[in-house]
Amino acid sequence: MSQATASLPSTRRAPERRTPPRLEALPRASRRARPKLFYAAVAVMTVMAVVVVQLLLSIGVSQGAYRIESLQQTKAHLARQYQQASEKVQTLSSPQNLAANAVALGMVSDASPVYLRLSDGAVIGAPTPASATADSTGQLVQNALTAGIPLVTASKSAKAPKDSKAAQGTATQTGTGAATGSTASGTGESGTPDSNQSSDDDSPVPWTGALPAPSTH
Amino acid sequence: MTSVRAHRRRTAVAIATVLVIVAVFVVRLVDVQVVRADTLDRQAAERRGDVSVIEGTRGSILAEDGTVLARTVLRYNFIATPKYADKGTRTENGKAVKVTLQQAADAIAAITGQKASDITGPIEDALKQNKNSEYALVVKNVDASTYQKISALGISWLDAKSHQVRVYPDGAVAGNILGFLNGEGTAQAGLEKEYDKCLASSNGEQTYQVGADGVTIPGSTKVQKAAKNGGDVVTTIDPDLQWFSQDEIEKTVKELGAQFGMVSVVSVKDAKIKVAAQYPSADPNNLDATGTQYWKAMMFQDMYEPGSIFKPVTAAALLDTGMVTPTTQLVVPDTLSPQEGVFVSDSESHPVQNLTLTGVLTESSNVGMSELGTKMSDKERYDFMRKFGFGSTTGANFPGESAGLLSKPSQWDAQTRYATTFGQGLSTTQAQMMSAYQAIANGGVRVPLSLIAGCRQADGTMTDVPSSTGTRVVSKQTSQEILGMLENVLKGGPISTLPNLEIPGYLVAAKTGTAQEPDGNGGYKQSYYVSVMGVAPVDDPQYIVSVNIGFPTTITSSLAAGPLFKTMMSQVLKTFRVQPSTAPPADYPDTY
Repeated sequence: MSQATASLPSTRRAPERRTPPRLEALPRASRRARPKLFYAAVAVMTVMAVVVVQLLLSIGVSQGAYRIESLQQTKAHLARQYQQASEKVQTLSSPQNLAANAVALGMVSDASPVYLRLSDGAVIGAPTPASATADSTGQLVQNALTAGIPLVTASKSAKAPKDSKAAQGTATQTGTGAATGSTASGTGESGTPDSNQSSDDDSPVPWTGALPAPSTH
Repeated sequence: MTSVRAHRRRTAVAIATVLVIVAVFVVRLVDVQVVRADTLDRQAAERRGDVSVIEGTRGSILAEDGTVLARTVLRYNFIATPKYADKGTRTENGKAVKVTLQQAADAIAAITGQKASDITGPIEDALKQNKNSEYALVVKNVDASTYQKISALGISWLDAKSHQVRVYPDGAVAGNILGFLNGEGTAQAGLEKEYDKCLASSNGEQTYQVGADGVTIPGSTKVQKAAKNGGDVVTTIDPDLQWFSQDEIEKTVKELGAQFGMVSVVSVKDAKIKVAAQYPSADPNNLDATGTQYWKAMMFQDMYEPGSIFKPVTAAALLDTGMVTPTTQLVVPDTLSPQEGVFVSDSESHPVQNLTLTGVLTESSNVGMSELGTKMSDKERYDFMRKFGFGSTTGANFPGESAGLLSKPSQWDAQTRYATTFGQGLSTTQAQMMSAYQAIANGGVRVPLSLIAGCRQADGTMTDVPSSTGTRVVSKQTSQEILGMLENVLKGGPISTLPNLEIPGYLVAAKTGTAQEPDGNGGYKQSYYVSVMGVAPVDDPQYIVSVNIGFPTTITSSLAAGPLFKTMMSQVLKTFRVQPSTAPPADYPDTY
């Protein structure tokens, strides 16, 4: 191989080297040396730039990782809150709980319905007032889940323990906020979900808006 | 010249060699990066990182209005690392502060309502056995809000682990129909078992790498297999009406000093089971509160001799073959002994009566039914019974469903031949009786009973939708005549002595039953199984209601079930907004 490369320029350059002056080798050498330094500088700068950019990128990405981590924690937290709330709603809306509360509020069901026929306005059946006392406590059908739930009438008189519970709720709130805050490294996102922590309060939610009415034709 | 050619050859060889090498690399690159990329990726991820399970969630059981009857939720256990329990910290205002075991235990106990010793106890026990112990279960099965509170304490040696738990928000409402899971989460009974395939979820798997600070390295999480959540079973049970029925049957059974009771409601047109109530019933949240014999769904799994409520079936067979009409005249004594070894008697002794077929049903005369029923060939009568669904399970396919007992006519002895006309000498389930009445009420077309509307998959499609294709059992005319005859029961039958039994505005067809049950020694028990089954409104049948009370002691006749039947039927008509009757009553004569 070395023989071949050596012989190659000799055959080609032979005709060119006839006329040019003999002392031109030196400036050529110096011209060649300057680009070498320039290119080296450019290469080193490029490498350094790449390193710096990569560093910045990786800082950015890992910052993102912490943010993702924190958001995922928030998501898990919210999912737990949602599960907790929906579970509670489902238990509270169980027929046992509704009936027991209705009875506690003094509601009775009328066992002899009377119908109004719209076509001719006829009253079908004999209207009779319902008995003043309910014949059921509404709690015959077992439900282990409603066992600890106080009736609406009970929670009205027990106002004091509720307040202490609310205080406990805020204490937990700051605690959790700080705990997630330490891992979230100041993304400022973790505080938002925790502000709803007071949903653990057991008191009934007062009704707002129009009362539901049956649709009539 | 030679040197030029040699040079060219060498160049060609060099280029060719380079090309070959490049080609080999390209092939290898494509193989690694494209062809085997997934496999290698997974292998690499598994070798470098951790594998974690993504849990799928078992589907819910819902009512048609969306009420959740069964669902899976997460519960949490807290596990302590005893060897660090003395050197623990907790988080206060964002800073870790030292905390002793006793202080930490007090804080946890204040949240869970345990005693502090419930937390220190397991830790100390674990340390006694091994002072480097790393495991002590201190808090079990707490819900999400308690989990949040305990986690917020930030106790350094405490770790939480979640697991799935099945809850039934409505408790014992339809508990026996829903069924339950065992401790391992395997379906044991009811809809849980029947539709386990629909409800079951499958777990997924993911791999990830964690940095030294516990944060997952970005881009390293790879879902190898996605978790699949189960589908939702949508049941036809109406939870509010089911609760009402269970509440009422419990009151009635207790008042009557009976052993048990059942109430069922089925829609006529599409044979959907709206109520399958029983007392005693089981709360799947707390099965231990109920005896194991009442964990089953009695409607499908208990069989009994139906007694007089079976008479309309025999009457329908007779009418459909044209052997009788509603006004066929009959002389009915109170006992009948047509041959050796056969003795049929009515429930009360009475002088010889001139009854029509309608009167036989109204008075519920065993003698009258025997006289007419045996005019038909046994084979033909048996075939009708089979067509009405006796001797085979209903379409509901409930796990452990009984097919009842209906022997072939060749195996009937003389007494059985007579007894089967009025519902003794054969056993049925409540579901079979509902199915037979459904055929009678639905213009003679029997639609298979169904407990579910279908299985709702995650993408919203409904699968497992039960068949609603009916088969004709008797003619429409027969169906109308039977219902017309049964209108008289509440007006003139044995239970008509009860006040206030009719429902104003509605024509109600009903049949009473006071059945005797085998005592297991070839005879019959002294106490009765009383029942009322009925359909309303007769002019456009919508719902079938059945009330059964097992062995009442204070009132032993079908009078016992009458008031509850009326309460139930009124409630059903009210709940489903059924329009009052517009047609006049059939008014068939009972006597002549």
